[in-house]
Amino acid sequence: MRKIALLAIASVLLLPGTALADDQDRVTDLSRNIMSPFCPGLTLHDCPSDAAIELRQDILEMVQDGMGNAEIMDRLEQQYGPIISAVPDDGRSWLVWGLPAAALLGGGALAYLAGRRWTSRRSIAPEPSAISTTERERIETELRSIRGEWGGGR
Amino acid sequence: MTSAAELGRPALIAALAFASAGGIFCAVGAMRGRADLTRTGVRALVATFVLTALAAAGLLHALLAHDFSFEYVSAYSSRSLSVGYTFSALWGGMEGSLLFWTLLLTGFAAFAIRGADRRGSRLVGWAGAVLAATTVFFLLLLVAPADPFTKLAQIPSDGRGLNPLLQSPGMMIHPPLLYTGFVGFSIPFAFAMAALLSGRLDDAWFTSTRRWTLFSWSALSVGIVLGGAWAYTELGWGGYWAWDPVENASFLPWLTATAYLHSVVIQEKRRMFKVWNISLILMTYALAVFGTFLTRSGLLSSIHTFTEGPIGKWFLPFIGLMLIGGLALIALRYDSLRSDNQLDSMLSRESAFLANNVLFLAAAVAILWGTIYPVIAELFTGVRLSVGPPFFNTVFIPTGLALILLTGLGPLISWRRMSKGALLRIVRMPLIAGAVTIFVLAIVGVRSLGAMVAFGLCTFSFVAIGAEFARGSGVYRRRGMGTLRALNETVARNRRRYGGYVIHLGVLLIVIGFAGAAFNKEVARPMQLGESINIGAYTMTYADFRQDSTPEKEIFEAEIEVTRGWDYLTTLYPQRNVHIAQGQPQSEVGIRTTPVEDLYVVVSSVDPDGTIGFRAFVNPLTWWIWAGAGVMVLGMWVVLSGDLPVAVPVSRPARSFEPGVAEA
Repeated sequence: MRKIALLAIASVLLLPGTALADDQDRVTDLSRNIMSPFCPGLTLHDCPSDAAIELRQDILEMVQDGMGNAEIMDRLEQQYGPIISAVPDDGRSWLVWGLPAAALLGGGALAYLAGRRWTSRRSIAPEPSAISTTERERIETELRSIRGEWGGGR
Repeated sequence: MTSAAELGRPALIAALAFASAGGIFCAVGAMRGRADLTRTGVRALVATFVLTALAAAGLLHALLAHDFSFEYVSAYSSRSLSVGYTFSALWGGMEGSLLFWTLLLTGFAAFAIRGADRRGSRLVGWAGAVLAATTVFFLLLLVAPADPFTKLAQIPSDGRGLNPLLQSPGMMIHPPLLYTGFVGFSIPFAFAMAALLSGRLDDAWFTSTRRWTLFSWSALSVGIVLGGAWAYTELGWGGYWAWDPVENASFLPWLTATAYLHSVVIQEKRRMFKVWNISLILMTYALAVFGTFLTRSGLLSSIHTFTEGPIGKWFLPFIGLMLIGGLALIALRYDSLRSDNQLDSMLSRESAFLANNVLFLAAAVAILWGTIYPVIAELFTGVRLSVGPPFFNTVFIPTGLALILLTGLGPLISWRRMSKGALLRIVRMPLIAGAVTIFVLAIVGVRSLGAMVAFGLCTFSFVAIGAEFARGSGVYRRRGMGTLRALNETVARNRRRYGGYVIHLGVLLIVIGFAGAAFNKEVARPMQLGESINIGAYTMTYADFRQDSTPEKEIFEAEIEVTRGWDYLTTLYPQRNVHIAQGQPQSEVGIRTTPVEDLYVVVSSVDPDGTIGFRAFVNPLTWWIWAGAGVMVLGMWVVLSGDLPVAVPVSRPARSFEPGVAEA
């Protein structure tokens, strides 16, 4: 019984602390997805300016007021414009993500198909030149250096 | 006041004349097969360099002599600026940096073309013509819309000074290195185009420019890392890379150039991928010019775009012409660019290189897209959007990790074909090492999946590359050599291969440094004198402050004592300074760096009573980024010191523009 009471007291004492940490984590997550209006090119999380510190504080208050992430983003976009969102969320965001995915998948598929086509029609014949010119040059320089080591001239 | 700078504009106009004449002589010489005409063209290109150097010397003289009758001098320097930073003001502004770019371009062109001419390369004529055309473009910019020698009607008594952020040792080396990298790619580009124009599509174009490619790639790599180091120590936000458009602009040609450095090996060994390699070098140079365009046009808002000018509209047609011309030439020569060999197996070194290229290119496409998407979207919708770090991290980190896997796997796979069993045998050790690393990290309580995968893959590749060194040097050890001598001998015998491995080891260390960022900690709050703050195991006490002023800036310096447990560690002195000329406040960070972690403190604001806005970061493993860059430089040195230029083999033209053949 005493254990339970202690646990209850402890949880009451600890809860605000953990809630605070959770709120702070949410601010961190949010601010990593917001471009700072005060430092061009940096997220709100990274921006070192005083105004950015204030805005992070404002966001913390919004979080503590029980606003959801989407709600907070909406309010910020109303205030600063859609430029504030670090990745566009305007219904065309599939375009932003689509091309990189297509490049990787398309490139991979192309390379695979090209590879398959090449391997399927490979010839049994030996290579026309077993070693390339650069290889040959390297071997020749090596040979020269070995001859040099033995003190012989050309 | 008359100064040497008065000669600047006439020198640039004369340089333009010589570059145009040089280009025509080189082209006609190449078309008619007249070596005498080509040689005249080469001389004209050397003269272009001398004249451009004269103009640059003129601007430098005006800067050092504080001749504020020149708009550029008054805009980017001041009497109180130190000599070193006055020197770096040469590339601190748009006009000056374009002059600097042109100086490098004409210098590299003169050097490369003369060298190739002496070695009897038959690509000299067309390469000279292509280089001259590029030079003419930049000289036109310097003569008309970006004239660095514009005079002011009213001469001010002092200049506005250099942007305080640019007043950093890193900024004295970072831009010249980036520019060296960007401009250096013009040489392989010119020889590739010359190969297409002349129809001499053997190995000559890339073997004769291999050192230029490696040199430019090395300069660009080091330049990018130094840019990161500059951001880390100067911008005060605790990071080194923000996926800023201008950072991306330097990273894009690096990605395609790195893809090229790998895939050209296949052309060398197996005579495959010829179209691909020429396309890669074309892309690399186009992206390098695009990078300059991004930096100098002010098209994208960016922390780096300190200078915005009216030259942007000139760049796009130039890049367009270059790309369309290059692609048209590739299409024209497509038949002569067919591979001499086939891919033997999907499990071969060749296909590993192919995968490497797919990944590098996909990364480049994704990053280019993310960088220009806001501009394209604004063009169509009129609304300004952002594409920021969350996008770039999501697209690049998985690609990057896959490349780290290939770094270890690639060298283990043999050329032409390999059985699955043989591969499994050879990857067993590295695989076990990687798995053990991940297992141990999980046990110690690491919860970042990304970091665990990164450390696991790095271990895999470390062991794989280590095994390559062991195998390579085994031959010498068996002959009774000591381990070190055997290693030295191995590297010396094949500098390109083992130098490449050393570069890979450097990259792995850098990735370890990046992965450390998953464990960053930070704290930010106001501190009064005497207060303490904790972060990680450290306790920091705001012990004292000092105020001072120089002709340049008002200095506020905080004294932060750092302890860990009962042990005094160090005292850091972060500053918050106001630069008088610009009225701009700027933070100088305090850093305690160790291989384990950096403690990084910033004063972000100062109240009159001495209360400071204070921010502290603990950044684990960041040290390894700079150490890895050092290892990369060592590898670059190994490769470059061994790869001497070879006489270009006399080649048979595939289909030439030369008389007799052209009319046929």
